[in-house]
Parts: sequence; C-alpha cells; structure tokens
Amino acid sequence: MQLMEIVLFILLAGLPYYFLLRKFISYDKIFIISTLLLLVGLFIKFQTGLQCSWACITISLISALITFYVALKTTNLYRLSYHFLFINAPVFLLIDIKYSIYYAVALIITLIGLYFIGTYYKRNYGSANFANISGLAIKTPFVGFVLRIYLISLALYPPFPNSVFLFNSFLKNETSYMWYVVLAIVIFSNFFIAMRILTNTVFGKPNKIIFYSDIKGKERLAHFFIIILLTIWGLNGLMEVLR
Amino acid sequence: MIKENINKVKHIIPHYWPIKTFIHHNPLKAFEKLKFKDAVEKAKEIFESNVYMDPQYYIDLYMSGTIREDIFEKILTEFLEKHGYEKYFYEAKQFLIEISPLWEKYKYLEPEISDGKDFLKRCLYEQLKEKEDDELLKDLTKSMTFYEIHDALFDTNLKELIEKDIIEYITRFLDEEQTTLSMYQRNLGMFNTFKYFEGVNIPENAEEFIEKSLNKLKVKDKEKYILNHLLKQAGWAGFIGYREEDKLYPFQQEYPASTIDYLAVRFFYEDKYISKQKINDFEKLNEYINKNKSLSILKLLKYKGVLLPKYVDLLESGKDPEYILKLYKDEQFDLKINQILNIRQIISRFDKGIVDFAKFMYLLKENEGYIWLKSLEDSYIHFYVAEFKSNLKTREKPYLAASVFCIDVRSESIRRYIEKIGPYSTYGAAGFFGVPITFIEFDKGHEQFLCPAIVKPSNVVFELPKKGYEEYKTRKKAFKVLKSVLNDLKNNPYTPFIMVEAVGWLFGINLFGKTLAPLKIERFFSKFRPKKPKTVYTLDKLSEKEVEEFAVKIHLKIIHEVLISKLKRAVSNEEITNVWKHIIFGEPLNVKDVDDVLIEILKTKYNITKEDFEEQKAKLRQVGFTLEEKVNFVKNFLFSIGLTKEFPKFVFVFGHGSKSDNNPFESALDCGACGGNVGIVNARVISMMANDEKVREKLKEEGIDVPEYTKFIPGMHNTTTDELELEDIEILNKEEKELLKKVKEDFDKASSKSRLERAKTLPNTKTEEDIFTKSCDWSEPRPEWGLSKNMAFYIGKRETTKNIPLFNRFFLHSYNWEEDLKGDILTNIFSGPLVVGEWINMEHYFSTVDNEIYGAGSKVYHNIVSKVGVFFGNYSDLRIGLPEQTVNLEDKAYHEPVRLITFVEAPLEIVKKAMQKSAFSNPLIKNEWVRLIVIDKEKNKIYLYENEDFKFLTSL
Repeated sequence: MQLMEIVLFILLAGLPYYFLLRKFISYDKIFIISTLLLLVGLFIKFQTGLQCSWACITISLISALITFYVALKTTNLYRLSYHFLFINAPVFLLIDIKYSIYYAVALIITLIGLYFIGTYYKRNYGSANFANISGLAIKTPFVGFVLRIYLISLALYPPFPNSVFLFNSFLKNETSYMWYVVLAIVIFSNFFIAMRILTNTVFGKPNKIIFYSDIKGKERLAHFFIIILLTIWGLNGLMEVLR
Repeated sequence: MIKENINKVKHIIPHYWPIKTFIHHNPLKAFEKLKFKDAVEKAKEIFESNVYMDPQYYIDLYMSGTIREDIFEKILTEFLEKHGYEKYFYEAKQFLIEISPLWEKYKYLEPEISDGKDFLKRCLYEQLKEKEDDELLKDLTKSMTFYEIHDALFDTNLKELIEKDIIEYITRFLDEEQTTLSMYQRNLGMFNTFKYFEGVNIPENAEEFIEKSLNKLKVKDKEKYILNHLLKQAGWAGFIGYREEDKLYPFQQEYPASTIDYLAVRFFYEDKYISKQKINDFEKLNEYINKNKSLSILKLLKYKGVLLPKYVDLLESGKDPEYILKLYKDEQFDLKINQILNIRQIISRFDKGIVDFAKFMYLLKENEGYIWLKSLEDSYIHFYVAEFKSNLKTREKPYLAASVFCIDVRSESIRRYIEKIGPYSTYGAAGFFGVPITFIEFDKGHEQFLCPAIVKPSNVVFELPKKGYEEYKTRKKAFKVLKSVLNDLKNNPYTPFIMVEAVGWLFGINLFGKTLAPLKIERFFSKFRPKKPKTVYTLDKLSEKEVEEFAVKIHLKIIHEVLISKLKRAVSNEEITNVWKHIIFGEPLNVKDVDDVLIEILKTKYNITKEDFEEQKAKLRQVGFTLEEKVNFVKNFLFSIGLTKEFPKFVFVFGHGSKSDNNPFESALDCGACGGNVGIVNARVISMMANDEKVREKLKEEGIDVPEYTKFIPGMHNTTTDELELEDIEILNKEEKELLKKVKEDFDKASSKSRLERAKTLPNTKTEEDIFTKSCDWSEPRPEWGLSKNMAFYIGKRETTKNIPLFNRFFLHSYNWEEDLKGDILTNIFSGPLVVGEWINMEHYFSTVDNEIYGAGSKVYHNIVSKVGVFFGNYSDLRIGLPEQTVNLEDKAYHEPVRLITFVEAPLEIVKKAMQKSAFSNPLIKNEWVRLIVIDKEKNKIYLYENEDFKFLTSL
C-alpha cells in the first residue's frame, strides 16, 4: 500500500472519527467534518489519479463492516448520517474518480437531508434519536414523505441517483470478484440500515406519549430543494447511463 | 393446581370462531358481568388498549350537532354533581372541548407563570411525583413474559424466535386442509404430537410440563404469568379456546387441542431459548435487576416505547443510568407541572388551589370517554324517541304480500322501499326464523349449524336433488378434475415451471379480465359454472325401521370398502353382513380370509362398533321434524313477528347472504343468526313447514288460521347487491305465478332504490352498476359496508318505525306485545336476537376504538392461515375482530361506536318479566352493555333503563 492510499483510507473510512473526533467533538458536528474529509479525499484522488490496491480496498471493506455493526447499535440520525459515509468508503476507493464524485454528490445530498431531519427530531423531540418515535407517516405526513425519499435513495433503490450512479460505475468499468464483493456488502449495508430506520420511525403505530408536529415553512422549502437537487442529479445520472 | 390457574384466566381471552363461519362476538365477553364502564377500564389495563375514541372524534360529532349540546351538558352536570364539582361546569366543559384534544401538547409548552413555580411544584409533588423504583419496575414488568424482559434488558431478540416457533407449530397443527403436506399424528393431540414434532422425550403430560417449566423459571405468581403468555398471541389462544369448548367441531374431534396443550408448547419454546442464556430464571433476573435498578428501568422504558429519544441518546453514550433516570423522572414531573400550569392559565376561573385543580383535571380526563359516549348515545335516544312519537300511524290496508326479513340492519332500506312501492307489509325476525338446524348440503359432506352460535340444533336436515341432475354432475365432475389436475401440478416441486409456460396464459385471461372488467368476466364465467339442481329437504322424521336400515347401511358400506381393499377380491353381501353381525352381535364369523386382525382394524380404525351403531341411530333419529315440532316452530315464528291473522296472499320469507370475491371475511357479511352462513336454507325450511297442510290443520286448532290461499315463498336477499331472488315458486298455480310477476317487478324497483341509497355511502360508488361490480371485484376491500354503523335494535310493531329512514342502522324485530302478555316471546327475543345483536354491536365497537388490539388490522397485509383465519405477513397472531376497511374510511372511523340502543315497544311489566326470565340478556341490560328504552303505549310513557332502574324519559 502506498502512503497516498493510506491517507485516502484514513480520510474516507472514518478513522479520524474512531480515534479522535468522537472523543473531542460533539457528534452532531461529525457529519460535517466527515463530509469535508470525504471531499478532500476525493480531491486528492482526482489530483493524483490514484488507483487503490486490493489490500487497501479489503481493509476498507473490513472497516465498512465494523461501521455497519456500530450503526446497528445506534438509533441517532446524526450518528447514522456519518456512518453511511464510512460504510460507502470502499466504493470511493474502488471506482473511478469521475463516478466516485457522481456517487459522492448524490450520497452527500441525501445525507444532508437525513441530517436536517435529525435536526427536526432534535428540535421537536429533544434528540436526533428516532427510538420510540414511530408512525411519522400517519402523524407527520411531510416528514414521513421526505424521510421515505431519503431512505429509499440511501437503500439504493433505482431510479434514485445513489443507485443510478453506483450501478452505472459498475456497468461502465471492468469488474472483478472484488467489485462484486464490494457491491454486495455496500448494497446490503445501506439497504439494511435505511430500512431499519424506515420501519422503526416512518411506519408503525404512533407513540401516544409523543406530541407530533410536522415540518413547516422554510424548513419544508429546504427539504423540497434537497429533493429537487436529488431529482436533477438523478436525471443527470440517467443521461450518464444512456451516454 | 396449574389447571385451576389456567381455568381462572383463560376465559379472559375472547373466543375466536373459524373465519369460514365468522361469528361476531363481544371481545370483552368475559367482562360482561361487570358494569360496562368498569369492564372497559379493566380490559384497558389487561389488553393495554383503547376503549373509547379519541376526544377529537366526539368533539367533531358535538360540533356537527350529532351530540346534542343540552344532552352533553346534562350528563356533564350529573357527573360533576356526583363528584362535588357542580360549581365548575363551564370549566369542565371548556376542558373537555378545548383542552383535552391537545392534552399532550400542554406538557411541552413553557408556562408563562414563572413566579412561584417552585412553590407550585412542592404543592403538586405528592400528586404528580413519579413512582418509586420498585413500584415502577413492578408496573413495567406486570404484563411481560420472561423472554420479553430479557430482550429489554439485554438487547436480545428472543421474543421473535420464540413466537415464530410457536406460530409455526400451531399453524401446522391447527391447519384445516390449507396445506397439502399435513402434519402426521395430529390425532394424538396438540402436545403429544408436539413431542414428535420436536423429537423430544418429555415423559410428563402437558399440565405437569407446565408446572415443571414454571418451577424451573421460578415464577412466583403463576396465574398472572399464564395470563401474560396467553395474551401474547390472544388470537391463537382464543381460537384454541373456542375449539376446546366446541366438542362438535370436526377438527377438534379429530385433532384435539386445548389451552393447556398450547401453553405447554409455549413454555417449551420459552425454556428452549431461555435455558441457553446466562440469566435464565426469575431469581437470577431479579438479582440482576436489583443490582442494576436504574439501568433496568431505563431499558424497560425504552422497550415499552415510553423513553424519550434524548434519554436513549444518553444511554447510548454510556452515561450513568442513575443520573439518566433521575433526569427522566424530573422531566416527567416537570412536564406534568407544565401541563397543569398551562391549562390553569386557560381555565383561570377555577377558584380552588392548584392541587384541587390537578385533581379536577385528572378526574375529567379519566372519565371523558364515558361522558362523551353516553352523550352520543343519549342524543340518538332522544332523536329517535321524538321520531317514533311523531310517526303518524299508517292506514292499515289489505296487503297483497308480507315479506319477512332478517333483523339484520341491512334489511332496513329494502323493507322501507318495498312498503313504499306497493301493498306490501314487512316483518323482521332473526334470520334463522326460529328453526335451528344442522344442515347437510347436497354434494357436500360436512355439517353446517344454521342457528346463532349460542344455540345447539337438535334437528338435522339433508338436501336432496329433486330430479335428474346429469348436467350438473357432468360439469361438476369436469371442474373437479380440472381443479385436481391444477392442484397436483401446482404442488409438485417440478411441474410449476412447465405449467407457467404451458397454461399460464389461460390464467392470464381470468387475471386481466377480473382486474379490468370484473363484472363482464363474472357474467361470462358464470355461464359455465355448474348450476345446482332443484332440491328438497328431508323435513319428515324417519321411522324406527328406516333409522335401523340406514344405520346398518352406513356400517355395511364401510365394511365393504375395507374388505375389498384388504382382501383384493369381490365380496358378497352375505359376507359383509356376516362380518357386521359378528362385530355388533357377536355372531360366529364365516368369511374366508377375514381374521381377528382385520376385525380389530374395523373396530378401532373404522369405528365399526356397537356403540357407533347406536350413535349412528341416534343421529339418524335427529333427521327431520315431528309434526309437533313443525307446528311449534311455525307457531313460534308467526307469534314472534305478530303475524297471526289477516294473512295476505303471499308470505315471502327472505334469508340473506352476501357476494364478494377474494374476501376471507365473506362469512362476516352473511347471516349472524345462521351462524355466519347464508340464510336461504332456514327460509326454505320454515316456508316448507308453513305450507304443509297437516301443520296448518294443527295451527288452526291452536288459533292460527292460515288460509289455504296463503303461500309461504322462501327467498334470498343478497345484501351486497340488494337483489331479491325467490325460490320454490313451483308450488304456485298459473294465476298465482302471474300475480307474482307483478310482485317481482315491485321488488326489483325496491332493490334498485335501495342500491342507489347505499351507493351514496360506499366509496367510489355512484351507480347501481358500481354496486354489482363491487360484488365480483377481487381488489375491492369493501364489497358492502356490512353491519357497520349498526346502532340500535327496535323490538315492536312496524307501524312505529315505518316510513322513518333508519339508514341501515337498526336491527328491526317485529313484535306484538298484545299476543305476549306473559312475556315469553319477548324473553326469546331477549335471549336470542338481542344477544346476537349485542355481539355484533360490540364487535364493531371495539374493532373501531382499537383496531390493532380488537380488530383484524388492514386487509392489505392479510394472508389466510390454516384456513381458520388471517394473519399478517408470514407469521403473526391470528387476527380477531373486523378488518380496518370494515369500520374505517380513509383513516377515519366510519362505524360510530355506541352501545346497542334497544327500543322495546311493550308495557313495562312485560319487559320486566322478560328481563327476569332471560338469563342471557339480563346481565347485558343490567350492566348497560345495551341501552334499554321501553315504549309503553298502554301507559303512554317512555322509560330509560339506567343504574338498574327504569327512569321515566318522556310521555308519548
């Protein structure tokens, strides 16, 4: 493994988080920092044109699986937003920079939406944790709707941009066994975590002790804006597929 | 000992009847000995359910005027007077209408009063403080099983594993031929078969095994723990409970199951998974909890869904549980303080201290459901009393025909239109028309009990084809062969692949046809279906000689088949008779190749015994009716509806049934009084009896002179399409048939009008065609509204209710008190139809107030399981009650949950007598599960039964 690969791995797979950030920085800020680190990593990859070795990708897969396990232990949307980033690290290391950027943009837009939903939870229910906040689809239809869009997108359902770019990168490149392993693990992890959130908070019976309140005003517009961005990016992805 | 514990608690679980004969029932039947208000409170705690609608529901009805303001105020005043708060009427009203719907919201608003908040907190501390840890723990775990507590405390997933295993076993054991691969040796009983199923050597019987398991778990309160287990899958427990008590249920006779067996299975699986855990009994668990009290409480709160997310965050980040629990308790206390202070700011006129205010507020909150419910019911009572009072007596005229319908609410509109259209009178009676029968349909082998579930029939009726039915036989055979081939192909592991390619397109026609044009495709395919031939019923008793002959024939037929299969040669009649006589009378055996082993097989496996012979004879003696029985049934029927003189030319007796496609709940739409079956059979039986000359002669002797020209014609009322079909019209002469044509035309008009009226209430339905389409559309969740919106029961003369549109919300039972001075007929109505009405009403009530607990949930997720009911997905509890689509429309309640408002038109004394004599309905009335109103036309007074007394309501 080259030094640059190690740097990339550190930036993308959440190592700063595990060894440093979580001890010193409040977890609601880690998503922003991790996103910045991802962008820096992609910039380095773009500049150097680096192709990662199998060893690097294998290590990042192990790290993704650990993150997946950690993500299963939490029900906090702030935490889950950066766990999603780390789980997808093997993809960024594996695929071409062009597709990495496409996929990263889609992922970041969706996660910003999820992060904002976390903010909404915190404001209304005291925390970004979705434990015991069920039945949003019934009680707060707008939150239920936008959260469904974000989670379905994160779960890599076509034709949402995340899946379009991910699958496109696999179609447009020469693949190997490692590609399939990465694809299988990333799809499974994303799908499982996203569906876990969806079934626990969007669906289910509303909790009687919670006073539900839907998103209104500017915040609603912000989510519309994110969904429009996702749509545009998704259309761009479809054009890319057809090219 | 364990058996006693089980017997004490098992009745709490409501019985569930198999879905093929869906019986509406009160899910809180076990609580009927309590006053309604107390019973629902108790049930609320046990089932953790809602028992009233949300306050907003009632407020909407209040705002729309359905709940009358004066009545609501009167009930509220009475309530406040009872509790010494009469001075605070306006405050109470404001609380119920403005504050209560936003009850939770006031917790989260910061009150403006900041001065003296600490003082107020101190004042309210005793009132509102959170429970002590031990008390809280007891409260949290009171309805939990060991594995649930384990899951909560140690983040395991045992519940899913245990319940999944239990459901897998019981669904396979209780299967009623849904699967092609049945479980072996089910005849051994549920727990004995289970030992083979699991391959375990358990020497104990079920009872001993339960005792052993409970001891191993170190359970202290065994009775409570058993109840907790039963409540986990209340649907399945209810179905097993039903089977256990219905000794005649064929599958129970063949594959016995019991609550004890079911519990033994549950405890086996609990032990299987728990024994692998480090903490595997209550002693160890309690030890752990005592050492980690705060953490345990927090984890239990999280499991129960009451721990707010921010505390879950703190738990996740590993903060000290004691600190988190203190924060939680403090916040809960603060929230309650906020709530009181915020509300106090709005209700500022309350002139007592804050502690009294809190008490006042909680008292109202606890009782608001009942106050609203009673207000709603009383509003309807007053409305209809006024309607009945103002209803002008219609001029009696000679009627051409009388039509007797079931009391079912769905008969109301069509009765109203029939009466409007021509010279017709209508009557209402329980849809089995007072004749409980065991019916064996032509071409079917099984028995149907055509009577209310609380009645056991003692007469058997066979249906036999009248004449040649070759075409039917040929078509039926062809269909049977086709079905059997398709089933074989489907169930073979390899053939489905080929089948899809080869014949899949054939199904495509049906698939697309039923989806795109259901009505057309239904009409097309109905042409090819075998049409049942004309049939007659065996209404006469068999002679003793015939009984003997038939009983022998049954045995001889079995012996014949067994001998042929075992001996592989032709067998003569003499040989068969000799074998039979040898077994039954011990005569010497003279048949070649038949040894003792074969005789033993005949005795044990095929039940050819003296006892069975006697049993067969006893059964055969039940076939048909004696003349006295026939006379009694007809007489009681006519007396019960008050039709004893001035008979018209035709008396139509309409049974009813429904029509829908892809609807597991179809029998819920059929006749409840016929045990969830179609009512045409009972209509035909009573008509055949009433047309019998000998019966009429005897009736004449008893004072009922049915003229020769009067003909009883049975018919069928399709409640989905409101079509009226007449049967057995071949008994009419040419002139009568001509006359009938005109009547039929009028009936068609009435059907059409009734359909149009009903179309207005059904979603996406505008025309009559839409109604017909719904009856055959396989994607239709609401082919009809069924008994939804049922509200009241009228027992009395039709003249009082005639011409008043009751919008299919009333059960209408005809009754003429002038012919029932002893109150016997009313007693029968109270004991049968009223009880059935209450079951239907309560089923709808509870399915509406909490569809998750008492209802069947959404049809969207239903799958048929074991052919006994439905469950969600691929495993869940058996869903009892009514589906969401039956009681709700677009997430709002369509059914209006009220107790059955029962109007009885009779002198008060007769009603009192009937109440005393009716053991079934007496507790229902006394405990106010039904609201009773007596319309005493003799005294010109109307009474309302309340608090075990008849109160004068108004004058007539």
